[in-house]
Amino acid sequence: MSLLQRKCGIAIASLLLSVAVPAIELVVNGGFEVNSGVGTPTFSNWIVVRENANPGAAGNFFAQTGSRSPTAGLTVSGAPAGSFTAMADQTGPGRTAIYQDISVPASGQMWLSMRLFVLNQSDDFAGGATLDFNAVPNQHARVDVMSLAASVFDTGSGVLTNAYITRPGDAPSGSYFPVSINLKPFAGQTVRIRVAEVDNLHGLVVGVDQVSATYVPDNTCAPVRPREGGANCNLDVDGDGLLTVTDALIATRYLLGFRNAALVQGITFDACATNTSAGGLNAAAATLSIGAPPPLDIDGDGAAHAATDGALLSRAMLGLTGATATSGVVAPSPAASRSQWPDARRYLNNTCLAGVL
Amino acid sequence: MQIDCLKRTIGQLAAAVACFLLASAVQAQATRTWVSGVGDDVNPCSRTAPCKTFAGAISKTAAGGEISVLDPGSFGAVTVTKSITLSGDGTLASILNSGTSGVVVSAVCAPCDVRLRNLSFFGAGTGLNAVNFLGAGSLSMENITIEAQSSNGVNIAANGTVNAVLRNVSIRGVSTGVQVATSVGLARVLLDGVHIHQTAAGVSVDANSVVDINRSSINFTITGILSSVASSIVRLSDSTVSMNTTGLSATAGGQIISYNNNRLRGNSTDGAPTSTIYQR
Repeated sequence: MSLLQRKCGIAIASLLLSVAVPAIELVVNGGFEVNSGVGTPTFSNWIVVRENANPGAAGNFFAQTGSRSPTAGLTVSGAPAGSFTAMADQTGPGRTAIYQDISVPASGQMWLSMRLFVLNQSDDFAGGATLDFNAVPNQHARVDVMSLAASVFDTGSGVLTNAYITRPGDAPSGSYFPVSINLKPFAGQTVRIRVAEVDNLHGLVVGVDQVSATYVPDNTCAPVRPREGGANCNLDVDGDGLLTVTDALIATRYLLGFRNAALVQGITFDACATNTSAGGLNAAAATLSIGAPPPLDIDGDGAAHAATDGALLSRAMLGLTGATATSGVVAPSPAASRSQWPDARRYLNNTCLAGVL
Repeated sequence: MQIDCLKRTIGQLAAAVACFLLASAVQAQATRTWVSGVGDDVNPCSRTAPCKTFAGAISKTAAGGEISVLDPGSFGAVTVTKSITLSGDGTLASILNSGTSGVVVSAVCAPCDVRLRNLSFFGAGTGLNAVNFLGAGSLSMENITIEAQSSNGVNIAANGTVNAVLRNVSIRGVSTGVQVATSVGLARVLLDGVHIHQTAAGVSVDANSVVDINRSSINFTITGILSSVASSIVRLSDSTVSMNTTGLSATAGGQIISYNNNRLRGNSTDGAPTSTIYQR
């Protein structure tokens, strides 16, 4: 191959890499529009499991439409898209789950997203360690990425990562909200996407809609990550559709006082980045640093600091989790309400849709 | 011929007199009558000339009327054959029913509406049922205490559909606190603020019966709540079933439905509701 041919090949490859391609959907019937009719617990491509071990158990995921829950008739938010949702409802204590198995490609970028609705009739949420409805109190909803080998109601080693879980003190109800998790760590695996609830205090209505697991090959530009968190906490400052170390580095530099050229010095942006100018990055980082509290206040102490919030974000973007992510960075403090990793992770995922493990 | 005519005339006159006397007797029944510890059943049961017993007053009380108690006393067992109210409002009104039932609502009293208020039943260990409802219609019991009956505190063995409400009733020392069944139709019973203890059975629900138990307690019994046949349903809400030999027992298809807000603890065998539902 001549030098000219090689240069032409590289140029063509670069051109191809810069062309956005549509994301590929891995979930089938993620809107639950294909079902057996209103009030039925049957959806195409989804498996609904209810508690069968105890004849006294109640509850199921039903095809729901309109503004009433399927069995209790409680007022709920309408489907965020289409006509139907899958909605768990019950007359008494029980547990139920709905799941679909998806094959995660071996390479590329993959994100899971969905919209969830929770209406708790009990005074508060409780439990979370198991989905055992005989263990009183246990009143929670959750979204997990699971191993296929795990039992449907497993909450132990079969849970590869938890994307969302209610906790005591959460608001009892609201509208549909986004839940998102990065599937990249499960590349090459077939995993189970499970939404489950357990209730033994009072009614717990859980609606799910717009389940989507999008995939784009590496080095192509497509929005695989939902951008709904952008209004409150869009950490994707370089606009490449992903949250990476680059975003964390720019945010941290901004918190350290770097501005304009100093902010971007030495950084190589990927081909999909749409916000690479110093001015644009300056503005994006500034948006994350203002407010009371600012979006970059990851540790919950009311302010954004490079040494704590910046370091915490950088570690999370590097894939660090648990105490490894927080150790030596955020000291337990009454002022820092999210000094522990589960709290910081919950903020990153629920508010910023960071999708960290 | 003239003699025959005279006999017929006398006969017609006698019939007319009888009709007159009967009409007078009906007119003598008052809507409200009174009993007193110092009354006399030969009296008309008026406020100024009260009767001595409920049994003496009931025949002088119109159907649907009320027998009220003037002053503290024991006013005896009574059989009810018509709609009636026995009211001990404002005083101590007791029925000592040793060897018999306190208030028997007869099978012929169907339909009828019987209301018992502020009464104390004491069977002295040999009384049968404090209240024995054998008819159909409705029964209301409020502010009642029942003690020392050899059979049941309240026995509803109806012969037709019956709606019964027991509110603020205390039962102890009987065989079964509340026994419910009907041979025809449906017996629907609400127990609200009913407290049963030291009985063989607390609440026993039998054929064609639905019993709602709210804000009540059942303790120190052999079986707290029994739902014994496929047509018996108990719904339990905000109640305590504790310190019994067996708390809940559902047999032969009987149902005990909990509203998930009860306290079922501390029984030798707690038992379990056949299903639990949430209050909405």
